[in-house]
Amino acid sequence: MRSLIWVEAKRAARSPLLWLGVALVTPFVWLNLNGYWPIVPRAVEHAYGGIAVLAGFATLTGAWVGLRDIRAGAESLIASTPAAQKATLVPARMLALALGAFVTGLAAFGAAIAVAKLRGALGSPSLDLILDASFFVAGAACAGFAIAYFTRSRAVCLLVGPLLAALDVIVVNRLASSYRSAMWLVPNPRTPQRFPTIGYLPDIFVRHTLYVLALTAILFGAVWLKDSIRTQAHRATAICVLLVTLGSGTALASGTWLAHQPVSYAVFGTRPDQWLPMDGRTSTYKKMGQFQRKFGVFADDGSASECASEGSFEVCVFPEFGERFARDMADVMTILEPFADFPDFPHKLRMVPEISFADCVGVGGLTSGDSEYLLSSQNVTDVREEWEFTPEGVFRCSLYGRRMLSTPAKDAVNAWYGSTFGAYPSMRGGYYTKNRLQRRTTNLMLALEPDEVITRLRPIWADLQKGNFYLPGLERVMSR
Amino acid sequence: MQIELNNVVKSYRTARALDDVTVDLGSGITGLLGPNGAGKTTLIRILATLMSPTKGTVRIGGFDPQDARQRLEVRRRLGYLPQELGLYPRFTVFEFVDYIAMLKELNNRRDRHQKVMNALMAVGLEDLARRKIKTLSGGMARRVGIAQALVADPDLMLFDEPTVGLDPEQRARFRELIAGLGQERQVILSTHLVEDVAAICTSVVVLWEGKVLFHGTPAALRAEAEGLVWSSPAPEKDALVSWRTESGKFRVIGAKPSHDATPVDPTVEDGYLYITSAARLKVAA
Repeated sequence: MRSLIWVEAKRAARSPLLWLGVALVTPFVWLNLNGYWPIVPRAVEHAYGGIAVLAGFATLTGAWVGLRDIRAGAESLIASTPAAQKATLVPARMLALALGAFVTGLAAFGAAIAVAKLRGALGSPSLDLILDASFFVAGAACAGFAIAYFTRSRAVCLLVGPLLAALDVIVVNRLASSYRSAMWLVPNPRTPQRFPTIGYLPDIFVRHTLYVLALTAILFGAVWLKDSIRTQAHRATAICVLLVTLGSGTALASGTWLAHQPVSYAVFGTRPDQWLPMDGRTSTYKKMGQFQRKFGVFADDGSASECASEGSFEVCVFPEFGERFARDMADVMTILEPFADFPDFPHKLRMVPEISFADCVGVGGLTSGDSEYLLSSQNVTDVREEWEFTPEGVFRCSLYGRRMLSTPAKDAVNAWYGSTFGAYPSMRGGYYTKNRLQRRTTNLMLALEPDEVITRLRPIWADLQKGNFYLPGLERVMSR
Repeated sequence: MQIELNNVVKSYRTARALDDVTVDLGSGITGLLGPNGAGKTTLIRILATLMSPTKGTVRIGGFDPQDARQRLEVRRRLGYLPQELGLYPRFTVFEFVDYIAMLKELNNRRDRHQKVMNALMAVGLEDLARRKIKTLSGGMARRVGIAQALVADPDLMLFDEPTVGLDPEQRARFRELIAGLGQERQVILSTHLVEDVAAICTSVVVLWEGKVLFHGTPAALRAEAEGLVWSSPAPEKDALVSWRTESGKFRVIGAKPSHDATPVDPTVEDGYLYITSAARLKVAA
């Protein structure tokens, strides 16, 4: 049986259909990386997202292998062999198919990592994610085989791959957008949030992989059971019943656990008691209220160890983002050089796992000397196109403070900054507001040279930050 | 390897493919002869343990194929070439025969590969071992079929219509091959081509509408038509069978047809035609 599994697995792993699936996942990863700073874990996540394509081809391959004897007219010949009588042929083929599909699953991730490396990505891939998806591909191949075995129809088998892949994509998207825990019950769910220093939250992968394996075991056992009953192979029948029972129990247990996981966490630190589970039934902001006092966590534990300085600013990021990223960010920060000597203006950008729901909630302290702007590793998604937003965020953070307390005067200054230095200069008059005085003040600032505005802002900055400097005063300062 | 069939009936809904067949088959090459639909393939498939009789008992080498364990023992001693030659087109010749060898429990890789090469040599395909099956001619593909049947050195070989679709030269070569195999093991050959049986079989079973009309040697089958075969200048209405031969005269089976007819020595084909035609006439009457 081992020789048979080996031969069949080698054939499955050479299947053009499976490699076509791998070939389609690779450009998917390449295209998706366009929008992101290339890091290996993110490439792996994209491959995980695109694995449904490979799974579709694996289903098709499984169905095709399941129909092989019918297609070749070899049913009688194969059925007359001792292996068929012992009911070892069908499980050997399924096992081999699963093995071959699993290898191509790994290959798809290998290709994704290679693509990311070609683009200069750093970091380590998540083995949990890779194993989970590769087992899913193996399970999809078994599903195809099972469908072929039970239906014996070429038409069904031709349609089953694309249909299952499409269904998978629809179900995954629907469940993900429903923001309910049931989303973890699909064979390849949307990836949970990943935190470079914490990992995935919720960390579903061990149980999810078990769940996928259990579903595969049920399929495997059901097909084998039919075969063993047909050939009166009593020992095999007993093993099948045991397999289906164990598979069902495991699927039920792991499925129940998955269905009770939150869809995400708001993370305020690296310790579990700093993680706030979120789901679709509770108001995010209401829940976050209890964590308000915990803002300002993310003490510097040295995780963001890749640092670069430019002018007055230093940027430190996680190693997987690389020194080049830190250097580029520091270079971008020089746009803020004219503001560097403002009171409490952050001089250090430090990467943290996540800053939930507002740029400034994690600011470690805006006190003079050690002011920091915390850069979320979750939000650094498109440095190539949107990096201007980072200095804007730093400016806004310094202006509004850690609680992001807004006043019309702050809004007027922020609108001026956005129009003068921001990525997308807003319409003249600042961001839309019904407050005429605010619009007039912003226009006054825009009419001045930027250096002049900065000179006039410097003496009032501390009061502006504290909310003690009001719009009429600002208008007077700018109209002098 | 002794094969015993006792009162075997195989029914498909309303039709009876085999009707009370009782026959003992001994060593050598046995030809199952009969027109299309006579029940030859059904009988071969029962012997190949692919189906069970509706009634009656079958013993193959003392084993009862109805019992799962004994069926396995039968399969271990069996080489089967089905009517529909199911070969995997993308496999090479070697890969395919090796694959079947694995299914036949030849688990030791080195021994198995040796046996595969032996089987390929036996059918003269050793030079084509690396060729893809889809590139082979019909005759070569048949030889691959025999090689796979031969690979586990079976005691019993079943060939279902093995020469269908082969050209005369291939058929002649094929008959030689089977004749050689029959010297060392029992071979059962289902065919509707009498010349195949006449050339290589040591015994013949004639099936007609699911019944055994004749069981004996080819010589005995030929003898069935002794004194009943004639060469006549004209066709005979009352003959059991008559047909034009290459000399322009008619070969007639039946009672002496006319004064001009001369007796000729019967062939195995004459014997076969005589008993099947007589059976048809009996049913019609």
